[in-house]
Amino acid sequence: MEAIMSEHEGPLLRYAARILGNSGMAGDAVEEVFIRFFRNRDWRVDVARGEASIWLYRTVHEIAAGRICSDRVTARGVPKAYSSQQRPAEKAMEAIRGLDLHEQQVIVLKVFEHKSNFEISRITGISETMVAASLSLYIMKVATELKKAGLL
Amino acid sequence: MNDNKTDGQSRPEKRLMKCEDIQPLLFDYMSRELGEGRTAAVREHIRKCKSCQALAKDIQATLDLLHTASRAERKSAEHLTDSRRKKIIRAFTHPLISWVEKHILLATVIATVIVISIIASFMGYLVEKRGAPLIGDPVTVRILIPGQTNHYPETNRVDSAGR
Repeated sequence: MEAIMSEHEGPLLRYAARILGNSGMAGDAVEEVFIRFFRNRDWRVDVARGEASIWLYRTVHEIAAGRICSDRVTARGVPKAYSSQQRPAEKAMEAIRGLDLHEQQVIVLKVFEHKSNFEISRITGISETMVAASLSLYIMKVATELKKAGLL
Repeated sequence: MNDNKTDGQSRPEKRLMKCEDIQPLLFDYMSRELGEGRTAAVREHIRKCKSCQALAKDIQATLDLLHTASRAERKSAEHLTDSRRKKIIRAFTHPLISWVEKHILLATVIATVIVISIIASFMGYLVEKRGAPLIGDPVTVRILIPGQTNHYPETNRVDSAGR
């Protein structure tokens, strides 16, 4: 159990923090995902098949999405106003948080977690072709926001 | 030229020359995840099409920014705290305790209801025990007849067996 947690905690915490925009809530989400994983699943089979990561990412996203829907932790769909002191990288992150949850999921998994289109397809439940097309579309959305902010 | 020989996909991909066919492939093209045939088709299209060229440039610039953000975030090592780790392990080894900790209010209500119902049934048992005659105790039977005095001789007393 310790080995599984050590292997996945970092990426899952970063992923949840990016989606939730809050490291404390990310910790809660990751704690819950591990509890669900060890308690409700035949987790040893998943680990043996190499599918633990896919299950963990999918579930942590569901938990994070549930938290967002119930708590409204961040303003969704409306990017915050960019302050002049913000660094370009932070502005780019903010533009990502302005996307829908599904769009964020695909971008974060690809750009930050370096998942393959196949892995993203397994996690999100959409086809590989759709993943590829979605990535182009969503990154163009981010680019449009960054253009508006005068970064591109 | 060599592509046509090495990549079986290259011939049909050459036909994907419209912008709407190319744009969904741009991300994979910029990330170098396209097959050789498709890469050649996209490269060829971008060389000729100014708008797709501009889009590709924007995508590359956006990806550069996001990668910078990613590197900055990775500097902060993220681990679960010890208390969270203990909680997770306890949830697996002692699921009931973990559930009670998580749903403390509900657990309190359930425990209160159980305690109240135990006390109530015990009290009920005590009342029933005190009110009912014990087996073997003598029972006084009074027969009231109009016009007679309210005096009854001791012989009217019978025990619970009817003697």
